[in-house]
Amino acid sequence: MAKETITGPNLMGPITYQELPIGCTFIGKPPFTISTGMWRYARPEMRKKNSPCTEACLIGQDIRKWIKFLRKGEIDKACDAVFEENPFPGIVSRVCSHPCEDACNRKQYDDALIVHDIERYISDWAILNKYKIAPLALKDKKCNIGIIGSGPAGLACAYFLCKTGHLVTVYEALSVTGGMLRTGIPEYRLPKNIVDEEIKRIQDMGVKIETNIRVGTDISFNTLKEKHDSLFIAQGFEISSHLNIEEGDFDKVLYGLPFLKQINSGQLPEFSGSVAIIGGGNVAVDCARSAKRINNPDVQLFCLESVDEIPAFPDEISEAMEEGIVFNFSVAPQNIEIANGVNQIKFIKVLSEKSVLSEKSDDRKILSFSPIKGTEFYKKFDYVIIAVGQTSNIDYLSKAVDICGNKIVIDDQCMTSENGIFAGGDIAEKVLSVPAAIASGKRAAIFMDQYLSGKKRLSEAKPGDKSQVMSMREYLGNDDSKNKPSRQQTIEFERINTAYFDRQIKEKTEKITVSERIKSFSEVNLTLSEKKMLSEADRCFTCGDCSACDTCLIFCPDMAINKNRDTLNNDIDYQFCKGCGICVNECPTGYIDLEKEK
Amino acid sequence: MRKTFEHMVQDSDTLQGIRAGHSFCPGCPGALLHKFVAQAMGPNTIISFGASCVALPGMIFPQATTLGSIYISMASSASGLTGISAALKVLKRKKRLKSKEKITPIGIAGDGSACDIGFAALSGAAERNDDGIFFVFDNEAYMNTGIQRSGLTPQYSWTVTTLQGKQQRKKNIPKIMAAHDIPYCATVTYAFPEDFISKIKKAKEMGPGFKYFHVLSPCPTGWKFPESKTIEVSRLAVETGMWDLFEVEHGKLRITYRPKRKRAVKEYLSLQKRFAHLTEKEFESIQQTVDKK
Amino acid sequence: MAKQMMLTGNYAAAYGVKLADVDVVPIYPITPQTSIIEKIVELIDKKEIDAEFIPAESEHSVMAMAVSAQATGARCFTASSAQGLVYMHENLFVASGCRLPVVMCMVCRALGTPQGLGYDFGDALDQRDTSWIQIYLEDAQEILDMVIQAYKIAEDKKVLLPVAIAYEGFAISHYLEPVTIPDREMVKTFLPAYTPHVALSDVENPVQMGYCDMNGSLMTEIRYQQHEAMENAKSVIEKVDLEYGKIFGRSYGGHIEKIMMEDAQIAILAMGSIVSTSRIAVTTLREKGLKIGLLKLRVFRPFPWEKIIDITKNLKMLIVLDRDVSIGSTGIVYSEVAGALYNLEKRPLLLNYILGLGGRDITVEMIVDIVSKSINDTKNGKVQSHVNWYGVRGL
Repeated sequence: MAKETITGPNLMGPITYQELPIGCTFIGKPPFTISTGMWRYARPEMRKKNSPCTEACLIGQDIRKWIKFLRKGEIDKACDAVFEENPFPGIVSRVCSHPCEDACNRKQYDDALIVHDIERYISDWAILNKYKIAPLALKDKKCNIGIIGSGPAGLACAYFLCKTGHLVTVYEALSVTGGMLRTGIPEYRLPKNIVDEEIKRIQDMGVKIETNIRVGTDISFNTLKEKHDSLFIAQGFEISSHLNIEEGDFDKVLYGLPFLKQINSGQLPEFSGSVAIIGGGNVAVDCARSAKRINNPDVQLFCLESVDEIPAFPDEISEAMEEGIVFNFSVAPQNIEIANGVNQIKFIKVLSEKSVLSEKSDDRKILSFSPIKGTEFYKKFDYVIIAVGQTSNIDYLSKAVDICGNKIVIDDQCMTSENGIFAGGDIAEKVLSVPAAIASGKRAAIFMDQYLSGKKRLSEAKPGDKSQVMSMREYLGNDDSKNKPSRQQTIEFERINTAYFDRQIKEKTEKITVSERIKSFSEVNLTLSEKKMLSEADRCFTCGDCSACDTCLIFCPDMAINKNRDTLNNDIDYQFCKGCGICVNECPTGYIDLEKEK
Repeated sequence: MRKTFEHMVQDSDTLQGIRAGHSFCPGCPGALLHKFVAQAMGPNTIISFGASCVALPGMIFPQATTLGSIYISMASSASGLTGISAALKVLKRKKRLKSKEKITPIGIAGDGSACDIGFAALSGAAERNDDGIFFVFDNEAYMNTGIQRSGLTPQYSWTVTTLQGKQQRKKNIPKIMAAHDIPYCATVTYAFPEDFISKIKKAKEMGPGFKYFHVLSPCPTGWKFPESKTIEVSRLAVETGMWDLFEVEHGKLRITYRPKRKRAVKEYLSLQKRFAHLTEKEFESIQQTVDKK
Repeated sequence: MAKQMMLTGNYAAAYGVKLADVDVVPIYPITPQTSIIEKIVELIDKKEIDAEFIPAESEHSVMAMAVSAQATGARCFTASSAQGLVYMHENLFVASGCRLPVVMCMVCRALGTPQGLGYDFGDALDQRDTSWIQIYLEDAQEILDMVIQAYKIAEDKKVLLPVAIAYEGFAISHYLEPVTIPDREMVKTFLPAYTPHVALSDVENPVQMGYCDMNGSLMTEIRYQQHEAMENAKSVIEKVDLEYGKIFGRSYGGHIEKIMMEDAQIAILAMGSIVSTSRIAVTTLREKGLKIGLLKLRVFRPFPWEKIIDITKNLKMLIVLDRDVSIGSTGIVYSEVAGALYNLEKRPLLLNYILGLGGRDITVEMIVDIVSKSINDTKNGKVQSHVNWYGVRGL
């Protein structure tokens, strides 16, 4: 091993001929090195940026963070990262429409990452290994919070408030917990044992859930107000909307929510023959696929929207079509009557017109439908299920808080007209999915914590500039503060250096076969194997964050990049960096920017 | 598969080959040559430099190279290597060597130094099969003296002595060296560091004999592209087919990297302002030459 | 055990190389030095010399190899002549700049153009500014002895400069003479193995050799170091010569050998084979009653101007015979001598004769003629013709 024990003389100084080593030789280390960093006119900065998946995620999850831990084999840390923002990964991974995957930069290269399958892998591991969540250390002020409704919004709010150290009690009207998670979404999409495990986990954390208590009936709202320091109303929509047309035989015309509730409680109605589903949302598709699984009737779905506009999730629709359900687009029912013992529905074709209400990403454009004269037709079905929307009954609150139609009025900080009373979920906001409900619960929890600790209205904690979501890790200051993401930038595909990624198509989610699927309510999708999960995790670009690939270190001509083995993010030695920008150009994730030197 | 280089990164206290604080231009791959060579060769190496930008860390105070080196004269890099290897042989035989490990002499010279003025020495060393590894730092001109054309400047390239573009083609030195029947002759470039280092390690582990490496080294100053794009230019050279990565081992040719999808040479040439004056016809002719290979 | 052999000058050099236990010999053939390398290769093949010979592809490379091999820590030897010597001119500076004690035989031959095979000192003297020690020899025995002494001089820690041993091609290199080859063990005691003060092969202490002095801030000091080494060489050469004489019985008088100088009033100063001829001429002239002596200038670099002053200051006339010329100026040895004597208050009359270029034969008669011409020229106490070209047809 070469030792550099000798230091040579300073040949630039006034060295005498006696001191100068003879023979134009220089032995050992020079007495100083030139700080070539002084020559710089451009400066690379390592700066974390937002990834499009986090920006698009309705809950604001830091998907990059999980992937980095998974790659290292530290699934427990990946789990910690998931639970920072999402209390129910097992549920979310099964029912989310995964906008993260639509936004994934890898989609523009070969295939998007199957993020939901990775999330599912982590959640399955958490359940298998009895992962527990510990609340934070006790705060100075521990408040007593009451939450109405144990649906996703209510339980998410409970989770986050309990995590920040408060005492939480959830009041559930039914005898079972979970709201729509249990009574709405069918077993083949969301097995109930998953719901059990995930809710049990937050109960083990300290959240109290009292069932069979309907507020307004079993206990008055005012009693609750006195009992608790603050309340969160998240009772959700439990009533199916009606169509404004004549309806026929009551036995054979059902409504979406009661039908699903019945199935989810284990009572399967007797279907045979044919079933018509009216509606285009997820509830309608759930009804259609559930109906199919009961004696395999001929199931047809009718909706107002065209194939591009149908609001149900694309995955649900494609699976439904695989299972043999026929979709009829752009038709409106005009009336239902009994004809020869069966239901006869008169339909008419419609044209849709779009008008955009706002530019917000999760607000769908408002559609209006105009019937096309002369296109009426009749169809006969044994059974009809109407699933055209949900609503609520909040009369018991009419004196307590301001109400508009079937929703509670809240301000931009989730507070109702009454001080200290908050609301969220379907009952207060436009919530189109379970993750959106969880996000609503999280927002409320943050604002409630702020309110209770007497803090002034702080600027909102968000994972990214474009994101509408609030981030718990930002709020708690957990996100390694030295490397806070730049609010100004989300990494676009053009910033990724694809030379470091070979093209690789995504792993396919395994499903059980179609013939198996329609025989029972067994879960359709299966969990990825570890090998496939790692293969997918390897495909992630980790947009905007250091992936510790050491490309910058290998290619830096000035040896100005130091490897930090603790944080696994490399950093730059500015004494020697000449600002050439090779690291900026080569970094596969766009983590490094080149700026003008001050 | 994503490419990572974690496995190639050594601890900072192992020999770096070159210290930070050297006087290379920003973006110059010269330091990368020193880095990769030292990483593959280790401390038991003696360098014989030939005139080039890449020789400067051994020659200018404060010295940035950490390996022992000698600079004789511009044309003498290969002869220096010969002398060192003969001396090591004799000293070992007469038991006057301090070190018990095998010491490998290497030569590092520029394209002008090794392949124009010093070509006789290079050819002689190859013919004699002197033990050592020779690296030619090919930046395609006499860059150190200010971008004058050399025998290895490619056709149509601008230099200060070929203001309208060089009319003659680039000398195909790797082919000539392979024709000397040396045990190992390879072409490498920086954008493929694993290929680079594994080839050097292979050459090092081979028995005694002359091994030749021709390193395509994009020069931001002379080729006139932004300094951040050095590695990208190096990669494009291979992906467009303008530079092939191959090795000739005991006479057997093997292409060590084939681009999955060959890109148009225009992508490589248009990045460099030294080709800014190229006409469509000239692009075509270059593309045809590459396609014929 | 010392033994006697009939050897040419070149073969004597080869045997000197054998005795000096040289390690690396880079070679390139050029007349008239080829027989040195042929003999060395033969001795290596017979395992009488344990060295690596490198058949180089040019003399420029030869010197580069010698430099790098010496820098690595091996004792090197090489030889060249005329065009080859001039081709390696660049690297001669490298050898002395890096202070590497390489030893080279300059087998002198006239420099082209016109290409000539005859001998004169034009090629060796042309290298006088390369900071190499230059010693000019007269016969094969001296060559063998000087090869060994050269290493001792060069490797002296106060010197560390390369040494060139120069002798004329064909006249000395190819003449068979009886030569005593000293005992190998005795030579080993006189000249131990080479121990460099710094070597590239010591990879634990990496050294960068041959650096660049970017703004000239070190050039003066480096050149002064070489100058100081040359000054030290003056005494080292004398010391080694005396020591060699003590052990092996042959001494050569150091920088200048004085022949019949006790009461001389006129002296001839020459180098190489002219001295052999002059010995006879001077004896003849002495018999005729002329008080004439002969000075054999052995060491040209470092130029022994103190010695020359000391020896010649009381002479009436000094005739410098140059087997070389610097066109546009005078004979080279003459100009050096003149420079040495200039500042003396009392100095001899100095004349220069340029002759024997390209190997043209110099006879005893010619030297006698030169002496009489010189006496004639300085009849009235002044030199009429300082520089004289002797033997030009048409003059």
